Amino acid sequence: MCAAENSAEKIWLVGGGLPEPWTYADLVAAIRRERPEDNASPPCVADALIRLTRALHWQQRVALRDVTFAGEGQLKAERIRANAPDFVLDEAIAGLVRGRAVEVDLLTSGTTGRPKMVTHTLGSLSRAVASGPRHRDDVWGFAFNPTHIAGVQVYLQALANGNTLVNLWGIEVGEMVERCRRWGVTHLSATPTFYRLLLAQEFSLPAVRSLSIGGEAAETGLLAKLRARFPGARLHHIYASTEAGTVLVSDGETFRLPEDGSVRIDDGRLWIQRGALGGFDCAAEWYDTGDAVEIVATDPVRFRIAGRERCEINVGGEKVNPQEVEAVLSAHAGVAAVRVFGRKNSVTGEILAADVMRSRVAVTEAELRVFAAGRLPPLKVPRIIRFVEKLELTRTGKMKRDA
Amino acid sequence: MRARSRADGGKIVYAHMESIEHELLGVLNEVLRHKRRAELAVVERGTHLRDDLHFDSLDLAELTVRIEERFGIDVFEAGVVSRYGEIESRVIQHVRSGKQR
Repeated sequence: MCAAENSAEKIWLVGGGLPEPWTYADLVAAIRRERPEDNASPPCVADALIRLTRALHWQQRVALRDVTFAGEGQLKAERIRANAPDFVLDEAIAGLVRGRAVEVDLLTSGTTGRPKMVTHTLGSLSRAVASGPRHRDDVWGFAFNPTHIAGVQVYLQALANGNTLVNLWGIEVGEMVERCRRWGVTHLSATPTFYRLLLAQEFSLPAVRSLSIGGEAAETGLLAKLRARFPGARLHHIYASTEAGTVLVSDGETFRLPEDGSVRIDDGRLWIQRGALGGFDCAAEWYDTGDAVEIVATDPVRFRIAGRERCEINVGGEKVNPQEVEAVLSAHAGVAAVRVFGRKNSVTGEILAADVMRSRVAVTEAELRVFAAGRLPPLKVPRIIRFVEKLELTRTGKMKRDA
Repeated sequence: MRARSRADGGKIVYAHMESIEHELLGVLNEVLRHKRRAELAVVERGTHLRDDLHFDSLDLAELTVRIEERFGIDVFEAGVVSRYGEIESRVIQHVRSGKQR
Protein backbone atom coordinates (compact mmCIF):
# COMPACT_ATOMS: atom_id res chain seq x y z
CA MET A 1 0.00 0.00 0.00
CA CYS A 2 2.78 2.44 0.72
CA ALA A 3 5.01 3.43 -2.12
CA ALA A 4 8.69 3.55 -1.45
CA GLU A 5 10.40 6.86 -0.86
CA ASN A 6 11.75 6.87 -4.38
CA SER A 7 8.26 7.17 -5.71
CA ALA A 8 8.97 9.64 -8.46
CA GLU A 9 6.42 7.91 -10.64
CA LYS A 10 3.59 8.39 -8.13
CA ILE A 11 2.09 11.80 -8.49
CA TRP A 12 -0.42 12.98 -5.95
CA LEU A 13 -2.76 15.61 -7.20
CA VAL A 14 -4.49 17.53 -4.51
CA GLY A 15 -6.36 20.20 -6.46
CA GLY A 16 -8.27 22.94 -4.73
CA GLY A 17 -5.70 25.66 -4.96
CA LEU A 18 -2.51 23.69 -4.42
CA PRO A 19 0.01 23.62 -7.23
CA GLU A 20 0.06 20.46 -9.24
CA PRO A 21 1.57 17.96 -9.51
CA TRP A 22 3.29 16.63 -6.43
CA THR A 23 5.81 13.90 -5.99
CA TYR A 24 6.83 12.42 -2.71
CA ALA A 25 9.82 14.76 -2.59
CA ASP A 26 7.57 17.75 -3.25
CA LEU A 27 5.27 16.72 -0.42
CA VAL A 28 8.10 16.42 2.07
CA ALA A 29 9.55 19.78 1.04
CA ALA A 30 6.15 21.41 1.44
CA ILE A 31 5.63 19.88 4.87
CA ARG A 32 8.96 21.30 5.99
CA ARG A 33 7.99 24.72 4.63
CA GLU A 34 4.64 24.73 6.37
CA ARG A 35 5.89 23.25 9.58
CA PRO A 36 9.59 23.83 10.06
CA GLU A 37 9.39 22.09 13.42
CA ASP A 38 8.25 18.88 11.75
CA ASN A 39 11.39 16.83 11.11
CA ALA A 40 9.68 13.58 10.43
CA SER A 41 10.42 11.58 7.29
CA PRO A 42 7.12 10.11 6.30
CA PRO A 43 7.73 6.50 5.29
CA CYS A 44 5.50 6.61 2.26
CA VAL A 45 3.49 8.86 -0.04
CA ALA A 46 0.27 8.23 1.83
CA ASP A 47 1.80 9.32 5.07
CA ALA A 48 3.35 12.36 3.46
CA LEU A 49 0.00 13.34 2.08
CA ILE A 50 -1.59 12.96 5.48
CA ARG A 51 0.96 15.24 7.02
CA LEU A 52 0.67 17.81 4.30
CA THR A 53 -3.12 17.93 4.34
CA ARG A 54 -3.01 18.38 8.06
CA ALA A 55 -0.49 21.15 7.67
CA LEU A 56 -2.48 22.96 5.03
CA HIS A 57 -5.95 22.21 6.37
CA TRP A 58 -7.04 21.10 2.95
CA GLN A 59 -10.82 20.80 2.81
CA GLN A 60 -11.22 22.89 5.92
CA ARG A 61 -10.53 22.11 9.52
CA VAL A 62 -11.07 19.04 11.57
CA ALA A 63 -12.52 19.03 15.04
CA LEU A 64 -10.73 16.30 16.92
CA ARG A 65 -11.56 14.91 20.26
CA ASP A 66 -9.48 12.60 22.34
CA VAL A 67 -6.62 12.57 19.93
CA THR A 68 -3.34 11.30 21.24
CA PHE A 69 -0.07 11.29 19.43
CA ALA A 70 1.80 8.09 20.00
CA GLY A 71 5.18 8.42 18.46
CA GLU A 72 6.30 10.06 15.30
CA GLY A 73 3.74 10.08 12.54
CA GLN A 74 1.35 7.82 14.36
CA LEU A 75 -2.08 8.93 15.41
CA LYS A 76 -4.80 7.42 17.45
CA ALA A 77 -7.93 9.45 16.89
CA GLU A 78 -10.91 8.27 18.88
CA ARG A 79 -13.48 10.27 17.08
CA ILE A 80 -13.58 12.58 14.09
CA ARG A 81 -16.51 14.85 13.59
CA ALA A 82 -17.34 15.13 9.91
CA ASN A 83 -19.79 17.99 9.83
CA ALA A 84 -19.58 19.73 6.52
CA PRO A 85 -17.76 21.95 5.97
CA ASP A 86 -15.50 21.07 8.91
CA PHE A 87 -14.07 17.80 7.81
CA VAL A 88 -10.65 16.52 7.02
CA LEU A 89 -10.09 12.89 6.31
CA ASP A 90 -6.47 12.65 7.15
CA GLU A 91 -6.84 11.25 10.65
CA ALA A 92 -9.20 8.65 9.31
CA ILE A 93 -6.72 7.83 6.62
CA ALA A 94 -3.98 7.45 9.15
CA GLY A 95 -6.13 4.92 10.93
CA LEU A 96 -6.86 3.08 7.74
CA VAL A 97 -3.23 2.96 6.77
CA ARG A 98 -2.29 1.48 10.13
CA GLY A 99 -5.30 -0.74 10.48
CA ARG A 100 -6.58 1.06 13.53
CA ALA A 101 -10.25 1.25 14.50
CA VAL A 102 -11.18 4.85 13.86
CA GLU A 103 -14.67 6.20 13.95
CA VAL A 104 -15.95 8.91 11.68
CA ASP A 105 -19.19 10.78 12.28
CA LEU A 106 -21.14 11.89 9.26
CA LEU A 107 -24.22 14.04 9.36
CA THR A 108 -27.21 13.10 7.31
CA SER A 109 -30.59 14.78 7.10
CA GLY A 110 -32.94 12.43 8.81
CA THR A 111 -36.39 11.31 7.82
CA THR A 112 -38.00 13.22 10.69
CA GLY A 113 -36.46 16.57 9.87
CA ARG A 114 -33.71 16.53 12.46
CA PRO A 115 -30.18 15.93 11.21
CA LYS A 116 -28.94 12.57 12.27
CA MET A 117 -25.40 11.54 13.11
CA VAL A 118 -24.17 8.35 11.61
CA THR A 119 -20.97 6.90 12.96
CA HIS A 120 -18.89 4.79 10.68
CA THR A 121 -15.76 2.89 11.39
CA LEU A 122 -13.20 2.74 8.69
CA GLY A 123 -14.20 -0.86 8.38
CA SER A 124 -17.73 0.04 7.41
CA LEU A 125 -16.64 2.91 5.20
CA SER A 126 -14.09 0.90 3.31
CA ARG A 127 -16.12 -2.24 2.90
CA ALA A 128 -16.42 -1.46 -0.77
CA VAL A 129 -12.77 -0.53 -1.17
CA ALA A 130 -10.89 -2.91 -3.41
CA SER A 131 -7.14 -2.91 -3.13
CA GLY A 132 -4.47 -4.94 -4.82
CA PRO A 133 -1.97 -4.94 -7.65
CA ARG A 134 -4.56 -4.56 -10.35
CA HIS A 135 -5.55 -1.20 -8.89
CA ARG A 136 -2.03 0.08 -8.76
CA ASP A 137 -2.33 2.34 -11.79
CA ASP A 138 -5.87 3.56 -11.34
CA VAL A 139 -6.28 7.32 -11.65
CA TRP A 140 -9.39 8.64 -9.95
CA GLY A 141 -11.42 11.65 -11.00
CA PHE A 142 -12.70 13.07 -7.72
CA ALA A 143 -16.12 14.49 -8.50
CA PHE A 144 -17.99 14.42 -5.22
CA ASN A 145 -18.33 16.78 -2.34
CA PRO A 146 -15.44 15.58 -0.15
CA THR A 147 -17.67 15.40 2.94
CA HIS A 148 -20.29 13.32 1.17
CA ILE A 149 -20.28 9.60 1.92
CA ALA A 150 -19.49 8.93 -1.72
CA GLY A 151 -16.57 11.34 -1.69
CA VAL A 152 -15.21 9.65 1.40
CA GLN A 153 -15.36 6.28 -0.30
CA VAL A 154 -13.58 7.39 -3.45
CA TYR A 155 -10.93 9.06 -1.33
CA LEU A 156 -10.37 5.88 0.66
CA GLN A 157 -10.26 3.76 -2.48
CA ALA A 158 -7.60 5.94 -4.02
CA LEU A 159 -5.56 6.17 -0.88
CA ALA A 160 -5.70 2.45 -0.13
CA ASN A 161 -3.99 1.83 -3.46
CA GLY A 162 -1.71 4.81 -3.56
CA ASN A 163 -3.59 6.14 -6.59
CA THR A 164 -3.60 9.62 -8.00
CA LEU A 165 -6.65 11.71 -7.22
CA VAL A 166 -7.65 14.36 -9.73
CA ASN A 167 -9.80 17.09 -8.30
CA LEU A 168 -12.94 17.62 -10.41
CA TRP A 169 -15.19 19.02 -7.73
CA GLY A 170 -16.77 22.39 -8.37
CA ILE A 171 -15.04 23.26 -11.65
CA GLU A 172 -16.31 23.97 -15.14
CA VAL A 173 -17.08 21.04 -17.38
CA GLY A 174 -14.55 22.02 -20.03
CA GLU A 175 -11.77 22.17 -17.46
CA MET A 176 -12.96 18.85 -16.01
CA VAL A 177 -12.55 17.12 -19.34
CA GLU A 178 -9.14 18.72 -19.79
CA ARG A 179 -7.96 17.53 -16.37
CA CYS A 180 -9.19 14.03 -17.08
CA ARG A 181 -7.25 14.01 -20.31
CA ARG A 182 -4.13 15.61 -18.89
CA TRP A 183 -3.78 13.24 -15.97
CA GLY A 184 -5.05 10.12 -17.69
CA VAL A 185 -8.09 9.56 -15.48
CA THR A 186 -9.14 5.91 -15.64
CA HIS A 187 -11.88 5.86 -13.01
CA LEU A 188 -14.77 8.24 -12.58
CA SER A 189 -17.24 8.18 -9.77
CA ALA A 190 -20.00 10.76 -9.70
CA THR A 191 -23.71 11.50 -9.43
CA PRO A 192 -26.12 11.30 -12.37
CA THR A 193 -26.29 15.11 -12.34
CA PHE A 194 -22.54 15.33 -12.88
CA TYR A 195 -22.73 12.94 -15.80
CA ARG A 196 -25.71 14.71 -17.36
CA LEU A 197 -23.71 17.94 -17.38
CA LEU A 198 -20.56 16.20 -18.58
CA LEU A 199 -22.40 14.66 -21.50
CA ALA A 200 -23.42 18.11 -22.73
CA GLN A 201 -19.80 18.61 -23.73
CA GLU A 202 -18.28 17.00 -26.82
CA PHE A 203 -15.32 14.87 -25.87
CA SER A 204 -13.66 11.52 -26.08
CA LEU A 205 -11.79 10.10 -23.09
CA PRO A 206 -10.67 6.65 -24.14
CA ALA A 207 -8.50 6.17 -21.04
CA VAL A 208 -11.56 6.00 -18.78
CA ARG A 209 -12.26 2.35 -18.10
CA SER A 210 -14.58 2.54 -15.12
CA LEU A 211 -17.64 4.69 -14.44
CA SER A 212 -19.43 4.62 -11.13
CA ILE A 213 -22.80 6.28 -10.80
CA GLY A 214 -24.71 6.83 -7.60
CA GLY A 215 -26.25 9.21 -5.11
CA GLU A 216 -29.54 9.58 -6.93
CA ALA A 217 -31.66 7.53 -9.26
CA ALA A 218 -30.02 7.09 -12.66
CA GLU A 219 -32.57 6.91 -15.44
CA THR A 220 -32.28 4.27 -18.13
CA GLY A 221 -31.48 6.76 -20.87
CA LEU A 222 -28.51 8.11 -18.96
CA LEU A 223 -26.81 4.74 -18.55
CA ALA A 224 -27.24 4.09 -22.26
CA LYS A 225 -25.72 7.47 -23.15
CA LEU A 226 -22.76 6.83 -20.88
CA ARG A 227 -22.14 3.46 -22.49
CA ALA A 228 -22.13 5.14 -25.88
CA ARG A 229 -19.79 7.94 -24.85
CA PHE A 230 -17.41 5.71 -22.92
CA PRO A 231 -17.38 2.56 -25.01
CA GLY A 232 -14.37 1.05 -23.26
CA ALA A 233 -15.65 1.55 -19.74
CA ARG A 234 -17.38 -0.73 -17.29
CA LEU A 235 -20.43 0.73 -15.65
CA HIS A 236 -21.03 0.46 -11.92
CA HIS A 237 -24.45 1.64 -10.94
CA ILE A 238 -24.33 2.09 -7.18
CA TYR A 239 -26.96 2.26 -4.53
CA ALA A 240 -25.55 3.68 -1.32
CA SER A 241 -26.68 5.65 1.67
CA THR A 242 -24.99 7.62 4.41
CA GLU A 243 -26.21 5.01 6.86
CA ALA A 244 -24.85 1.98 5.08
CA GLY A 245 -22.24 3.11 2.60
CA THR A 246 -22.26 1.18 -0.64
CA VAL A 247 -24.98 -1.42 -0.53
CA LEU A 248 -25.61 -2.59 -4.08
CA VAL A 249 -23.62 -2.46 -7.29
CA SER A 250 -24.98 -3.27 -10.71
CA ASP A 251 -23.68 -3.01 -14.25
CA GLY A 252 -27.04 -1.83 -15.49
CA GLU A 253 -30.34 -0.38 -14.45
CA THR A 254 -31.46 -3.24 -12.21
CA PHE A 255 -29.99 -4.65 -9.01
CA ARG A 256 -29.77 -8.04 -7.39
CA LEU A 257 -29.91 -8.82 -3.70
CA PRO A 258 -26.48 -9.55 -2.23
CA GLU A 259 -25.83 -13.15 -1.35
CA ASP A 260 -24.89 -12.41 2.24
CA GLY A 261 -28.51 -11.70 3.02
CA SER A 262 -27.78 -8.21 4.31
CA VAL A 263 -30.51 -6.68 2.17
CA ARG A 264 -34.10 -7.69 1.69
CA ILE A 265 -37.27 -6.40 0.11
CA ASP A 266 -40.35 -6.10 2.24
CA ASP A 267 -43.54 -4.17 1.76
CA GLY A 268 -42.20 -2.91 -1.56
CA ARG A 269 -39.17 -1.27 0.03
CA LEU A 270 -35.50 -2.00 0.60
CA TRP A 271 -34.36 -2.98 4.08
CA ILE A 272 -30.79 -3.32 5.31
CA GLN A 273 -29.62 -5.53 8.15
CA ARG A 274 -28.40 -3.67 11.19
CA GLY A 275 -24.93 -5.23 11.06
CA ALA A 276 -24.33 -3.69 7.66
CA LEU A 277 -25.02 -0.16 8.87
CA GLY A 278 -22.88 2.51 10.38
CA GLY A 279 -23.62 2.88 14.06
CA PHE A 280 -26.66 4.99 14.55
CA ASP A 281 -29.81 4.49 16.48
CA CYS A 282 -31.47 1.52 14.84
CA ALA A 283 -32.96 -0.67 17.49
CA ALA A 284 -34.53 -3.14 15.10
CA GLU A 285 -32.77 -5.93 13.31
CA TRP A 286 -33.62 -4.41 9.94
CA TYR A 287 -33.41 -0.78 8.81
CA ASP A 288 -36.12 0.54 6.51
CA THR A 289 -34.35 2.66 3.88
CA GLY A 290 -37.66 4.09 2.73
CA ASP A 291 -36.70 3.45 -0.87
CA ALA A 292 -39.43 1.86 -2.93
CA VAL A 293 -38.37 -0.91 -5.27
CA GLU A 294 -39.96 -2.30 -8.38
CA ILE A 295 -39.30 -5.97 -8.97
CA VAL A 296 -38.65 -6.65 -12.64
CA ALA A 297 -37.66 -10.31 -12.54
CA THR A 298 -37.70 -13.28 -10.18
CA ASP A 299 -35.35 -16.25 -9.78
CA PRO A 300 -33.08 -14.52 -9.23
CA VAL A 301 -34.84 -11.41 -8.04
CA ARG A 302 -33.95 -8.29 -9.99
CA PHE A 303 -35.33 -4.88 -9.13
CA ARG A 304 -35.13 -1.16 -9.77
CA ILE A 305 -35.02 1.55 -7.16
CA ALA A 306 -38.33 3.19 -7.87
CA GLY A 307 -38.18 6.23 -5.68
CA ARG A 308 -38.41 7.57 -2.20
CA GLU A 309 -41.31 7.11 0.10
CA ARG A 310 -39.83 9.12 2.87
CA CYS A 311 -39.83 12.80 3.28
CA GLU A 312 -36.76 13.73 1.28
CA ILE A 313 -35.98 15.47 -1.95
CA ASN A 314 -32.88 14.56 -3.90
CA VAL A 315 -31.35 17.63 -5.53
CA GLY A 316 -28.47 16.55 -7.74
CA GLY A 317 -27.44 13.80 -5.34
CA GLU A 318 -27.77 15.84 -2.16
CA LYS A 319 -30.70 15.12 0.10
CA VAL A 320 -32.84 17.94 1.31
CA ASN A 321 -35.40 17.72 4.03
CA PRO A 322 -38.37 19.83 2.96
CA GLN A 323 -39.54 20.41 6.51
CA GLU A 324 -36.28 22.10 7.36
CA VAL A 325 -36.79 24.50 4.43
CA GLU A 326 -40.43 25.06 5.35
CA ALA A 327 -39.37 26.04 8.84
CA VAL A 328 -37.03 28.68 7.44
CA LEU A 329 -39.59 30.16 5.05
CA SER A 330 -42.29 30.15 7.72
CA ALA A 331 -40.15 32.49 9.75
CA HIS A 332 -40.83 35.26 7.23
CA ALA A 333 -43.69 37.54 8.25
CA GLY A 334 -45.19 37.37 4.78
CA VAL A 335 -45.64 33.58 4.91
CA ALA A 336 -48.77 32.20 6.52
CA ALA A 337 -48.13 28.62 5.41
CA VAL A 338 -45.77 26.94 2.98
CA ARG A 339 -45.33 23.62 1.22
CA VAL A 340 -41.86 22.76 -0.05
CA PHE A 341 -41.66 20.05 -2.65
CA GLY A 342 -39.50 18.66 -5.43
CA ARG A 343 -39.94 19.76 -9.01
CA LYS A 344 -38.67 17.21 -11.54
CA ASN A 345 -36.17 18.31 -14.14
CA SER A 346 -33.68 16.70 -16.48
CA VAL A 347 -30.61 18.33 -14.96
CA THR A 348 -30.58 17.64 -11.23
CA GLY A 349 -33.44 15.15 -10.95
CA GLU A 350 -35.32 17.53 -8.70
CA ILE A 351 -35.07 21.09 -7.52
CA LEU A 352 -36.90 22.67 -4.65
CA ALA A 353 -40.11 24.53 -5.25
CA ALA A 354 -42.43 26.16 -2.75
CA ASP A 355 -46.09 27.04 -2.63
CA VAL A 356 -46.73 29.89 -0.24
CA MET A 357 -49.95 31.06 1.30
CA ARG A 358 -49.50 34.72 2.03
CA SER A 359 -50.17 36.47 5.28
CA ARG A 360 -51.29 40.07 5.31
CA VAL A 361 -47.68 41.20 5.03
CA ALA A 362 -46.65 41.74 1.42
CA VAL A 363 -43.74 39.72 0.07
CA THR A 364 -42.38 38.86 -3.37
CA GLU A 365 -40.73 35.71 -4.71
CA ALA A 366 -37.44 37.57 -4.95
CA GLU A 367 -37.61 38.69 -1.34
CA LEU A 368 -38.33 35.17 -0.13
CA ARG A 369 -35.43 33.75 -2.10
CA VAL A 370 -33.06 36.30 -0.65
CA PHE A 371 -34.48 35.58 2.80
CA ALA A 372 -33.94 31.85 2.37
CA ALA A 373 -30.49 32.29 0.82
CA GLY A 374 -29.37 34.10 3.92
CA ARG A 375 -30.26 31.11 6.06
CA LEU A 376 -29.74 28.04 3.90
CA PRO A 377 -27.11 26.63 1.56
CA PRO A 378 -27.86 27.24 -2.14
CA LEU A 379 -29.30 23.82 -2.92
CA LYS A 380 -31.86 24.18 -0.15
CA VAL A 381 -33.23 27.47 -1.43
CA PRO A 382 -36.45 26.94 -3.41
CA ARG A 383 -35.96 28.05 -6.99
CA ILE A 384 -39.61 28.30 -7.94
CA ILE A 385 -41.95 30.04 -5.54
CA ARG A 386 -45.65 30.40 -6.25
CA PHE A 387 -48.29 32.15 -4.24
CA VAL A 388 -51.36 29.99 -3.82
CA GLU A 389 -54.76 29.96 -2.22
CA LYS A 390 -54.27 26.56 -0.63
CA LEU A 391 -51.56 23.94 -0.13
CA GLU A 392 -51.75 20.54 -1.72
CA LEU A 393 -51.94 17.58 0.61
CA THR A 394 -51.77 13.84 0.08
CA ARG A 395 -54.68 11.56 0.73
CA THR A 396 -53.43 10.99 4.25
CA GLY A 397 -53.24 14.69 4.91
CA LYS A 398 -49.49 15.15 4.61
CA MET A 399 -47.81 17.79 2.50
CA LYS A 400 -47.47 16.57 -1.03
CA ARG A 401 -43.75 16.29 -1.74
CA ASP A 402 -43.87 16.17 -5.51
CA ALA A 403 -45.12 18.83 -7.90
CA MET B 1 -47.90 38.19 -30.36
CA ARG B 2 -48.05 40.52 -33.31
CA ALA B 3 -48.42 39.46 -36.90
CA ARG B 4 -46.83 41.58 -39.55
CA SER B 5 -48.46 41.95 -42.90
CA ARG B 6 -46.57 41.75 -46.15
CA ALA B 7 -47.35 43.89 -49.09
CA ASP B 8 -49.05 40.99 -50.86
CA GLY B 9 -51.40 40.48 -47.91
CA GLY B 10 -49.68 37.42 -46.47
CA LYS B 11 -48.62 37.18 -42.84
CA ILE B 12 -45.03 36.62 -41.84
CA VAL B 13 -44.18 33.77 -39.53
CA TYR B 14 -41.15 35.77 -38.48
CA ALA B 15 -43.28 37.85 -36.12
CA HIS B 16 -44.38 34.67 -34.39
CA MET B 17 -40.80 33.52 -33.91
CA GLU B 18 -39.71 36.91 -32.72
CA SER B 19 -42.23 36.65 -29.94
CA ILE B 20 -41.00 33.25 -28.80
CA GLU B 21 -37.43 34.49 -28.71
CA HIS B 22 -38.54 37.49 -26.73
CA GLU B 23 -40.48 35.38 -24.26
CA LEU B 24 -37.61 32.96 -23.89
CA LEU B 25 -35.26 35.81 -23.21
CA GLY B 26 -37.69 36.94 -20.55
CA VAL B 27 -37.44 33.53 -18.89
CA LEU B 28 -33.65 33.63 -19.00
CA ASN B 29 -33.72 37.09 -17.47
CA GLU B 30 -35.94 35.84 -14.65
CA VAL B 31 -33.23 33.39 -13.70
CA LEU B 32 -30.52 36.04 -14.05
CA ARG B 33 -32.52 38.41 -11.88
CA HIS B 34 -32.75 35.85 -9.11
CA LYS B 35 -29.03 35.26 -9.41
CA ARG B 36 -28.63 39.03 -8.79
CA ARG B 37 -27.05 39.43 -12.20
CA ALA B 38 -27.87 42.09 -14.73
CA GLU B 39 -30.60 41.26 -17.19
CA LEU B 40 -29.66 40.99 -20.85
CA ALA B 41 -31.28 42.84 -23.72
CA VAL B 42 -29.81 40.46 -26.24
CA VAL B 43 -28.24 37.02 -26.00
CA GLU B 44 -26.21 35.60 -28.84
CA ARG B 45 -27.06 32.12 -29.95
CA GLY B 46 -23.51 31.02 -29.27
CA THR B 47 -23.60 32.15 -25.66
CA HIS B 48 -22.45 29.32 -23.41
CA LEU B 49 -24.70 28.98 -20.41
CA ARG B 50 -22.05 27.68 -18.07
CA ASP B 51 -18.87 29.32 -19.31
CA ASP B 52 -20.35 32.72 -20.30
CA LEU B 53 -23.33 33.14 -18.02
CA HIS B 54 -21.81 31.12 -15.16
CA PHE B 55 -24.84 28.94 -14.70
CA ASP B 56 -24.36 26.05 -12.34
CA SER B 57 -26.48 22.91 -12.31
CA LEU B 58 -29.13 24.49 -10.04
CA ASP B 59 -29.43 27.48 -12.37
CA LEU B 60 -29.83 25.17 -15.35
CA ALA B 61 -32.43 23.15 -13.48
CA GLU B 62 -34.36 26.31 -12.63
CA LEU B 63 -34.14 27.51 -16.22
CA THR B 64 -35.45 24.27 -17.61
CA VAL B 65 -38.36 24.20 -15.16
CA ARG B 66 -39.33 27.78 -15.98
CA ILE B 67 -39.11 27.09 -19.72
CA GLU B 68 -41.28 24.04 -19.29
CA GLU B 69 -43.90 26.01 -17.40
CA ARG B 70 -43.95 28.70 -20.05
CA PHE B 71 -43.67 26.65 -23.23
CA GLY B 72 -44.53 23.10 -22.28
CA ILE B 73 -41.27 21.52 -23.30
CA ASP B 74 -38.48 20.01 -21.24
CA VAL B 75 -35.57 21.40 -23.25
CA PHE B 76 -32.98 19.16 -21.63
CA GLU B 77 -34.97 15.97 -21.87
CA ALA B 78 -32.92 14.72 -24.80
CA GLY B 79 -29.73 15.84 -23.11
CA VAL B 80 -28.31 18.94 -21.53
CA VAL B 81 -27.20 21.49 -24.11
CA SER B 82 -24.61 24.16 -23.58
CA ARG B 83 -25.54 27.06 -25.81
CA TYR B 84 -28.47 29.42 -25.70
CA GLY B 85 -29.10 29.03 -29.41
CA GLU B 86 -29.74 25.30 -29.00
CA ILE B 87 -32.35 25.95 -26.32
CA GLU B 88 -33.97 28.57 -28.50
CA SER B 89 -34.12 26.16 -31.42
CA ARG B 90 -35.74 23.45 -29.35
CA VAL B 91 -38.38 25.80 -27.97
CA ILE B 92 -39.20 27.25 -31.37
CA GLN B 93 -39.40 23.81 -32.94
CA HIS B 94 -41.69 22.64 -30.18
CA VAL B 95 -44.02 25.59 -30.46
CA ARG B 96 -44.13 25.45 -34.24
CA SER B 97 -44.98 21.78 -34.23
CA GLY B 98 -48.11 22.68 -32.38
CA LYS B 99 -47.47 20.59 -29.30
CA GLN B 100 -48.35 23.39 -26.95
CA ARG B 101 -49.94 22.75 -23.57
